[in-house]
Amino acid sequence: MKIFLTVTASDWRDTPVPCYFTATADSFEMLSPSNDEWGKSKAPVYELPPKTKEVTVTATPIGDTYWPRTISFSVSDSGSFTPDSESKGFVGLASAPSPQKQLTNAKFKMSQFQDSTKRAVKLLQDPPKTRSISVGGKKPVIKGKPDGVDELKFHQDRYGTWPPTAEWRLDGVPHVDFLDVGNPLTSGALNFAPAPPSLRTPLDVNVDSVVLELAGNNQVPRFFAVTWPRALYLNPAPAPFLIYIRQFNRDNYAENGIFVGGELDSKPYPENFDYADVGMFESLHYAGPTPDSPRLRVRARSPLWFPNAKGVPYQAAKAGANVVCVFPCNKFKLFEKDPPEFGVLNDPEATEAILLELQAFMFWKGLVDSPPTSIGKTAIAAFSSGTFFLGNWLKDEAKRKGHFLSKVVRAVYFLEPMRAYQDKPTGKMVQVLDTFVDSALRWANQDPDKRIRLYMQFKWDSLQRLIDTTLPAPPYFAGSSVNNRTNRTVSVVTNATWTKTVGRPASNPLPWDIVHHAFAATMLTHALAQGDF
Amino acid sequence: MADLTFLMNVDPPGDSNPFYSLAKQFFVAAGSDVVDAPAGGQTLEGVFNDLTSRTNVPATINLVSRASGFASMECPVTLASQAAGRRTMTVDDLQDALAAKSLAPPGPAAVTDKTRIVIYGCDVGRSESFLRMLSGLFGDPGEVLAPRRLGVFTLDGTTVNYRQAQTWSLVRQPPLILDSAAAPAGGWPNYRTTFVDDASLKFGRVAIPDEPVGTDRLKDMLTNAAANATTTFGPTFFFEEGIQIFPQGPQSAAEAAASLASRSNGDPVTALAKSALDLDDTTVVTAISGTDAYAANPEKTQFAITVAILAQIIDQDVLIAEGQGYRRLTASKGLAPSPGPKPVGGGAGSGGGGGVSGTGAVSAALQAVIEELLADGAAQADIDALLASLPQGDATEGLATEVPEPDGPWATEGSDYSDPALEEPA
Repeated sequence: MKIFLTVTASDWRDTPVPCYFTATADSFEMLSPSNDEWGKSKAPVYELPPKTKEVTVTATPIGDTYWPRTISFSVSDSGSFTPDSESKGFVGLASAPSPQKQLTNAKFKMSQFQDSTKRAVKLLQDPPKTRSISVGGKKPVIKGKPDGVDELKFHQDRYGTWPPTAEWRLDGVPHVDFLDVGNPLTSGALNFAPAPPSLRTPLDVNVDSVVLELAGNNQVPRFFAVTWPRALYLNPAPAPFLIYIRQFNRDNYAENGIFVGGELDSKPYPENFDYADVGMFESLHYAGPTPDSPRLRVRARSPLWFPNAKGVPYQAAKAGANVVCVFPCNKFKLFEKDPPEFGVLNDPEATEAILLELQAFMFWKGLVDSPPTSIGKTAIAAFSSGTFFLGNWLKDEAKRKGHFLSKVVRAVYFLEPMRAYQDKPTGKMVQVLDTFVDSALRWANQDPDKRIRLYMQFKWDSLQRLIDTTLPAPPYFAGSSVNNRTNRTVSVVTNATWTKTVGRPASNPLPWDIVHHAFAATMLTHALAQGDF
Repeated sequence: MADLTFLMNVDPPGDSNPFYSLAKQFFVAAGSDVVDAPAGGQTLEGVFNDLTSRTNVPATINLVSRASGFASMECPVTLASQAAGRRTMTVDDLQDALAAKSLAPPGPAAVTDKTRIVIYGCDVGRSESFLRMLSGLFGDPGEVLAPRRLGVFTLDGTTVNYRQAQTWSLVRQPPLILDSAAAPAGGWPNYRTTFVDDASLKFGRVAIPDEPVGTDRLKDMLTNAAANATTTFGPTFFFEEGIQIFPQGPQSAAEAAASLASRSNGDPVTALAKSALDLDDTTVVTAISGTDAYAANPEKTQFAITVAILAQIIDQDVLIAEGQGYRRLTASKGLAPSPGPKPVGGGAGSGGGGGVSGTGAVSAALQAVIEELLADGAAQADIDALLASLPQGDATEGLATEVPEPDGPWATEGSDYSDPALEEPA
């Protein structure tokens, strides 16, 4: 029996991906008649040596847009090929047999993503021992005073155990309270209830939680944490997405020696502890259980005692939103000449292309042969200074009219948007929330089915423009309906209400930043429960 | 020039799945020139008459028809057969028409080797012989494309979408719903459980090597699909295809049923399903024969075979190209059905003597191996299938990486970071 093997490579659209291929048969190098260089061929046709049992092929893309891929095949006596179990979803085989010969084409499915979950977990196991803390109050801090920090203890206090071991797990959260979406306010306080039984056991049972890495030199973002409901594998339709845009790094962490400075400068983006932890892990998880410390800054159950941890996939599960959650890991923008923190995502069309690529990778991972050619209904949730990212999309008419924002994105969520900022050259305060509201309305006016949801702790006049009825005095959750759907939500819950919720006296209000973060850690449950997917 | 679209029939009054009316909306919105079915329904002869009456026939002709997995479309071949009571067009009808030359092709003024016939409907692409004979009656157009899956038109707001559905068929006795009952005998939960169990057994017989989660994936998929399915058209639903058997001449109905030759809802599947998620009617065929027939009335003057089908709509745009969703039949007899995209210059994909270049073009070395296999008795269809599996189109460009836009100004409302050193006394 003569056995021939030809190898090709394509992307999820079945478009060729130019590659060099190398191959071995039972560990011995195989050559193709068409070798362009010794051992390498762009279009190989291998004839296997007799009695070959295993063939290993590596596809190395020309250029850095795609990741290389190596697949081992066991070869039967009759010439049939079986890929190794980890690669099964990433190769298609087609064969043409004759009585004495067999030709097989192995089509490699090339992706711009690779699974880097293990690397991200390893970064969590390597915290810095010192941080370069600001001494002059100037941002950003490049050279500060190195102070010793005990990240291990800090994280053990916050998460119970640390570091995570081998997996990027989503454990059960029996210690976490969730907003009662149907009745969010009672007696002037927010109404929280303990996690339902479905969230007390690990979410991993139903959700794949991974960190994917985008190929390309100097790619920003490079890491994307992704939680993918496994039910999607069962009905390979366009996946609904929630993109969670966290706050910018430079605005918030420069003084604390987080992400950059000191010893972290030897581990640039995204290869250090903070990008894995603050940049991704924190958005996925909830802190807790609450430690038994008498010196707690805020005495409350999770998530309110440490709301930096946002628990986004848990909020989605609690809201019944079967969506893929995507957490781009933004790069600290150290100098003005550096690329923007969310890099390529500033272009909505590029964002859609990335989501399509991500979707294809995950479906292949789940052994779905032909990924959908479009993505499903998508929502963008932006927190704090991250709302500028969303605002930049929405204020640009060309972006609004682009395919992604006009046809794919169905909902935008503003979580504690900023109201104003100080313009550095003039020193004047610039009102931005009015612009956010105006831009979001212009976007939503394209299609009555677009949804806008906004949650914040301060009153602001222009919020009234989002809602048909007169807004009441805070606290409130107000909605407006179009075609019997609640397409607008505005909620203002002031510090006084949060303070009352955790049982503190009005004379000892919660710190601003606790309330600020608590919006993203709790209110997303409300937004995701409004039927936007 | 706009496509030309023929609707082969109209919807029965009160149908919960207004297939033809939504199809019309879909093609009109797409700018197609739509030809409604005449009273009593369209025929293939009627389509040919229309084509020959036109002076400028477009390259793409769409045929929109309800159809069945057992290779039939809702349009008789000739006006005479329609007048005699035929309502469908089967493989046998096509074969008879070709053999008897009872229907002349539209001719080169209407159909050329550049003409593309696209069928919108259900499943008929699973039968290669159906497509070959239909292509023959049309006079061998450039290509015929037909769905391997169930096709539906769905309404999203005011927009009509063309969608396909994953289906699982089981031969069933008696019919799914008897007369005007609201639910199957025993109720929907019981029916779904039995259907899922039986379908798991039937479709799970195909071994999937190295399946990481095992056969449970199939059962999970079926359970998920059946969970809310009824006979009401929706994201998932049940329906059935019935075959009525009438006696011919002195035959009794029972004898007619017993003499029924075996037939299936698709060609034998030669490619192994890659995953349990691919186990459906496109990878496991359902065969029926006289032994599946049952008396359809107490007098036993009529027999029937019933196939119950669970369907789950795949909510994505349908790619009209060779693949799991569509079969493409070309009139050319060449080795490579792929037209071969234009090559790109430079190093990327411009390999010379090897197998398949980065642009999908077949190389001399691969051509030599193919000829070697053909000389050794390889089936042309296998070679065609292998070549059809090669990547098509131009080499992919990467994602954009240069985005000049700034992210936003500095924050002024304070740090987002809760400093652990700031803990306060309880």
